[in-house]
Amino acid sequence: MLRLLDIIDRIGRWMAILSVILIFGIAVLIISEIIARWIFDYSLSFAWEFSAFFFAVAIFCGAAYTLRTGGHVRVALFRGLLGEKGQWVMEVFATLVGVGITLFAANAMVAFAWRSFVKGSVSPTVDATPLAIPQGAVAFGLVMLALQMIARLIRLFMDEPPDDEAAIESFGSE
Amino acid sequence: MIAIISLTIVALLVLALGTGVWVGLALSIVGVVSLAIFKGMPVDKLYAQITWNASTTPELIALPLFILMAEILFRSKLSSLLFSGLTPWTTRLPGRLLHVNVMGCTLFAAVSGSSAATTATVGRITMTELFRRGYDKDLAMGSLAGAGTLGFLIPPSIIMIIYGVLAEASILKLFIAGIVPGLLLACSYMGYLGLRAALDPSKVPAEELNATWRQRIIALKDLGPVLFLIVAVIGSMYGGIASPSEAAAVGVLGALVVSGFQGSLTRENIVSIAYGSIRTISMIGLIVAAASFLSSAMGFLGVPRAVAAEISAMELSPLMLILLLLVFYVGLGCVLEGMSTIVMTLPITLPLIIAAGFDKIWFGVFLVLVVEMAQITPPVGFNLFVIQGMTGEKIGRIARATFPFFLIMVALVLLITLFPGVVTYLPSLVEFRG
Repeated sequence: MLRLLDIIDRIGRWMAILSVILIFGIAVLIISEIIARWIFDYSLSFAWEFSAFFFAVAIFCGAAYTLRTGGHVRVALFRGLLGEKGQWVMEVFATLVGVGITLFAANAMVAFAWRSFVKGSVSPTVDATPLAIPQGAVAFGLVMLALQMIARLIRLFMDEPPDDEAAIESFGSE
Repeated sequence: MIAIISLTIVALLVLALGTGVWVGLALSIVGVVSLAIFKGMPVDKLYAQITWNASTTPELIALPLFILMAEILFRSKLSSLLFSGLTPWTTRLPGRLLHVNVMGCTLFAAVSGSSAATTATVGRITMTELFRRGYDKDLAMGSLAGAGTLGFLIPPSIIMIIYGVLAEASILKLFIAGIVPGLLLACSYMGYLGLRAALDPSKVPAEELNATWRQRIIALKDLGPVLFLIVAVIGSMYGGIASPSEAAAVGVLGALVVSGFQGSLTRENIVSIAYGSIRTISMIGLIVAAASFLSSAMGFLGVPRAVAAEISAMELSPLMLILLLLVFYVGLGCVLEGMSTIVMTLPITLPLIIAAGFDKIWFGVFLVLVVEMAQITPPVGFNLFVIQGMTGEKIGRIARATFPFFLIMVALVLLITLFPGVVTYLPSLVEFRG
């Protein structure tokens, strides 16, 4: 079972790396656009469109890894008031709610991307990017977030630490 | 009916956030559930569409770039250079090196959009140095926590980007509007530090620091990288060459150049930069997308209109309204992280404020100040956590040390409320130029 959960972790890490590459890609696109406009007086219209898609994909493809390493903000205030048992119950409750909403979101986004694919929707610009591609990537990110949330629930019941403590440690005092 | 809807939304939010559901998910679920109950509509199409639209908003592109830039600079040698470059400039000031936090944060804030990043980067060196040399611990920690918040107020600013997108206000104007209040705040902090040091010489160690003008000029070399980045980012924006997103891309490039020259782009650092930035980007992106959805959901349910009607029926004076909001936000900021409080409440408070005749840009700066306060109010305050990580002191002590700086911020909020021109004058000049 733990092996299976580790696979989810590993995919999450790969997707996080992909996300960072996309963010660097945004910087490259925008700088190319500035240079093209300055020197050649020619605007790279796709730079802005792709940048927006890259950002959307990066948010959701990084989400599972961020969850695993405790990066998503939450209120930890009331947890401190509870005993060990109570903390566990509350953690299970929060994770169950998390499983519910991420499954809903993943399902909604997969259907959304699928509709774009079937209808052949393209972006309303000269570039006419097929929207199913970036939307599909966002949907995949949400599916992985839902899987990571389910993995978290399983870890809680197996008495495993739900957050990847070793990874969090390496971030230092940030 | 609308009262029941509003109360349900508040109750759901309190339940979800209180039990530790992640903010970015809690906001979505509250939107989904309240629409499902009160509108009986299939929410999934709406959810997908709004999430997609929100996360592909072009103005948001500056956000990941500024986060990436801060992450690169955090792992460069910039923090020690700031310290060595500023040290000779503080020798004549009452309180001497105590000012290094405020001066360092003011400079760094001009290249960083985040307050936690500013606190962490500047404090990395200053905290150990000030403690080692025997400066008063409380003043050292308090001034770092207080000045770190300048990261949000002095442009560029992540909070202003998010506010600009959600409130449909010009991000560039917001940036410009933050300059005067930011510098005022920095000067007030320095004035307070100087006053404390003058009244009680024991706050400052007896060691005699001297610096010649020659040394001061030479020290400027150490400030070179940060000044270069300020010119690259701020210069390109205010020179009218680049939009905030373009300036951010230039900033990323500049940060890579600076960090590369310092030999800080090691394999290990690159990995940390990658993972560190994606965690922040994903966290903030998820919250912004969810906040847009919750905002639309509340709009569909007619909550903002109803609350605005209730409040206007109370016939508060504009000043009373602002005081009320200040108390409300400071209260929320104690238990919630600042950015979350803003994105959650904006759909309600923005129409209120516009109806009362306030300016959108002005309110943006007001909210930034309020978020800054949230960063330093216990029990939940990011800057306090950062300083706790550095010094190992108790949150209670750090919060007490920070309290005078919190009061200075409150004073600034009152000042900009009484004299809105402090905020709105500079951006109004830009409009003139067209």
